[in-house]
Amino acid sequence: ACGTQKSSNGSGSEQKSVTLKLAHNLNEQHPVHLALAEFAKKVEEKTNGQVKIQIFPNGQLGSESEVLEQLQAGAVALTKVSATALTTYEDGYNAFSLPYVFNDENHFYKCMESDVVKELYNKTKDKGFIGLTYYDSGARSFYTAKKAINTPQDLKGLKIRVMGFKSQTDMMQALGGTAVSMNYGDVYTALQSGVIDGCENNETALTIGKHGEVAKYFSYDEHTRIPDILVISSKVWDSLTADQQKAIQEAAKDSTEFQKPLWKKSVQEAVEQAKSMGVKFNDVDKKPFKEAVAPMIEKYSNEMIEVKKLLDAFKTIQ
Amino acid sequence: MKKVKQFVDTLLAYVNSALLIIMTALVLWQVFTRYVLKNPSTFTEELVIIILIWTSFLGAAYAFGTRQHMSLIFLKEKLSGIKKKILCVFIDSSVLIFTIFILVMGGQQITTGVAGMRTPILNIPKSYIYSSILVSGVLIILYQIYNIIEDFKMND
Amino acid sequence: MITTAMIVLFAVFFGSLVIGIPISIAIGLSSIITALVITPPDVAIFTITQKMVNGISSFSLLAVPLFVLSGNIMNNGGIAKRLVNFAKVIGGRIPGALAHANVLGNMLFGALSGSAVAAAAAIGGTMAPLEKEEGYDPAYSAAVNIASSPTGMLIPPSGALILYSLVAGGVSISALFIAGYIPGILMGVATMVVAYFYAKKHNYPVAPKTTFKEGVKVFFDALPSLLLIVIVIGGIVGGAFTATEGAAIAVIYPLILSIIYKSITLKDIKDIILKTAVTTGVIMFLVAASSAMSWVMAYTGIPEAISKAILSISTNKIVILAIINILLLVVGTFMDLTPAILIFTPIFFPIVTQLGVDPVHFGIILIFNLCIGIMTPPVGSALFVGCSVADVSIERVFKPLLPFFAALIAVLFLITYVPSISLILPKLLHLI
Ligand code: NA
Ligand code: NA
Repeated sequence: ACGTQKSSNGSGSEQKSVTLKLAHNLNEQHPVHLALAEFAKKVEEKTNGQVKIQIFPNGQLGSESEVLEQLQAGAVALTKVSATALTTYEDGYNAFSLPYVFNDENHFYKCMESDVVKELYNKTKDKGFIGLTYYDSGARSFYTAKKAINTPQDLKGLKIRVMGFKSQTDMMQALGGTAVSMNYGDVYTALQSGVIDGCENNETALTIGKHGEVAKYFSYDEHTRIPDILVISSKVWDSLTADQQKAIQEAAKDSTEFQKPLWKKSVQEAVEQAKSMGVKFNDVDKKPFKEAVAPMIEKYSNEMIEVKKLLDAFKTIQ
Repeated sequence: MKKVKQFVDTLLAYVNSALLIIMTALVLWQVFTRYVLKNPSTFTEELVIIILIWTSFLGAAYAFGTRQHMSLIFLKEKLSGIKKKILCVFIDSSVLIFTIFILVMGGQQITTGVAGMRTPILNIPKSYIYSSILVSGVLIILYQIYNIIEDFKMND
Repeated sequence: MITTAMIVLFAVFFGSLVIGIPISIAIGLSSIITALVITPPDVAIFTITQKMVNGISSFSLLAVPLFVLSGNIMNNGGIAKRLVNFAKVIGGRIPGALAHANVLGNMLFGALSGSAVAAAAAIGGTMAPLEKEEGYDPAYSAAVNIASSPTGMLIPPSGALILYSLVAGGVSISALFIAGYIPGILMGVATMVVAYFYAKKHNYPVAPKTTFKEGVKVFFDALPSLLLIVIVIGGIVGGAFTATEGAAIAVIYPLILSIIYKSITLKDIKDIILKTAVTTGVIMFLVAASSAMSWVMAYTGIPEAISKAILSISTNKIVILAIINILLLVVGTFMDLTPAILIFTPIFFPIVTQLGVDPVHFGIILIFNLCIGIMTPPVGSALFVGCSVADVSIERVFKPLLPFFAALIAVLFLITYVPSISLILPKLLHLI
């Protein structure tokens, strides 16, 4: 039942082993995939082989939203998705897609490990899944083809490709740029031909998608830090023993710590490689950006009580 | 019976043609907003995808009604009389069964399953997208019943 | 369990196919029955349905029906005729002039549209009566037309390459388009070489000399049509617009031309749109069912198992590519191009990329191979249309087709083992 295959293991003993299917859409070199592999290894160790995790990488089973639906249906047991993908299920997750809710990396880590986020993880229990842990996806900044972005005024008249979510187009509007949504695969040529003037992402986009060849300015405005979230099906979760649940929770936490240095390393490598492509990195005074998006954050807080609750809690965390 | 089918055929032909024109126009509009208005439209892509899904499933239904789906026809051509009749009924029943389980039951399950969820840009209910497969399924059932009756009547 | 799943999947699929169940339903039935082997019914039904809807939830995919629409408009709108006149001028002085004009016409038409069937009908249909008048054997004329009609599947724009790009997980459409030029032209050249020897043997005439003035007039007649290549392909490859946007332009541009040429009526337009809407339904339903099948295969680990089996025979790239080519040639005899791309890409793609074959290169190999498939009996859409416009039977056209098959298979192996034929242009343009 529910994506688990139960087979009796050994003769007479009551030991049952289950294999849980975990799907995600990253490649097998990505730090998050490595962390998930580590998670699978730890779970098996900690449960003495009772719980095994089978990973389907590269989006083999579908996009984030498809796999979430499959998880609800019981075809897969676990998945890693961007926090943005969870906004369809729980308003609170919108908090992570809003700009400047985290002061810096340290604040981000502390908030993600705080009790309000743990509460949020459990809010979707009756929708079919709960959150287990998060993975660092870095800070997203603007990178552009022709000139560096130092102030929101620099974005005026520029067409910037954003992820296809309302919060992201609202953010672009607040900052004065024009939001364009397009397939990730089309971005390179669109940057090259001037169909778009820039994008927003973390540093690894410069090298993975080779965008650094056509976008030469990476401006560290660090507007959002959108984490990846590991979720497990509620049905599967309830079918596990208390010990197994504890083992999974510990393994999840360990894998988050395991991923942090890997992520930093991959960002560092990306920056070095991008510099050799001729990309210039510039620091940015974030104050005018924060001021520009303040009304938008206000609006989201007013419209979604869960977002307000999280943002208020984040403010008290130092 | 025949009149009802003709009516559904004509209706679907018009709806599908209209949807195809709308999609083409929307894509051209997207190019126009980007190059002429210098203010690229952000909603067209999502809207076009939704229309594409509807066009595809309604078009598929129409193609079942007019027997235009690709298939291998050796066996059918080799047989005659009652054997051919049985084969045709079997083929059309397979289509009917697949439609009942996947397009209709599955479509119903998925449409209710996404209740409350909305699309990221236009913020319209996701059920508006998934219901296309359900509507298409109902139409294909009607067409297949008609086709099976035709199979029975066939004499050669 | 993988073995059980694999046997169930292929047995149900081929069984359904052979008895004549529509291919899309054969794909869907085999997927749901295989899924039932490994998951509870509610999970299986939910996921198959979900994958069917999401499989066609793609903006890039819309390029396929739009290019079909564009091809149908050009087929109807006097553009084919102008291209044929132009091709006659270029091919005129070689023995078997009309046959060469047919090949060139298919290549030019193919550079505007992406459908072998449309080319075979539009160009072949125009050429067949002319060739008959000059005493060409109709079976031979049909063979030339059939063998060169798929050039447009490789010469961009190409719906086949767009489908491959999507199934292969987003291989760059621009790179694939540019990569298709040389192999597509080679396909045309190979048929021209065979046609040349045949024509010499049978003393087929050269065309009367065209005067320079006539040549110029014919060229300017064809120019507006040829300009579309520059706008659409240049725009897509240069990044000015996406493949889908380019396809929409490829719809409106020839429509306007046809209206100017007064070669299209409102009734034609109505028929063309309905015809395209039906094709859209057929192709998209196939894509939908195939994406369910891909899910079932990934979920049960079938591609991995097949990959292991093939790699256990050999890990030599040359041997594996030969095996894949032969398998695909067999598949192509009875299966149409679209379902074959949809079903076999997910199986072979991981194997070849693991061996270091460039995804763009493999796309060209796959499409070239399946292009041969659409001209082989028993099932071949280009074969059927080519025979019907020339009014000859499949039996009669089979023998004259054989030397063309030999030449095309030789070119297939050439482009398989010389990757740079496909990759040099995209590399020069920094697309890969
Ligand atoms: Na073409
Ligand atoms: Na064939």
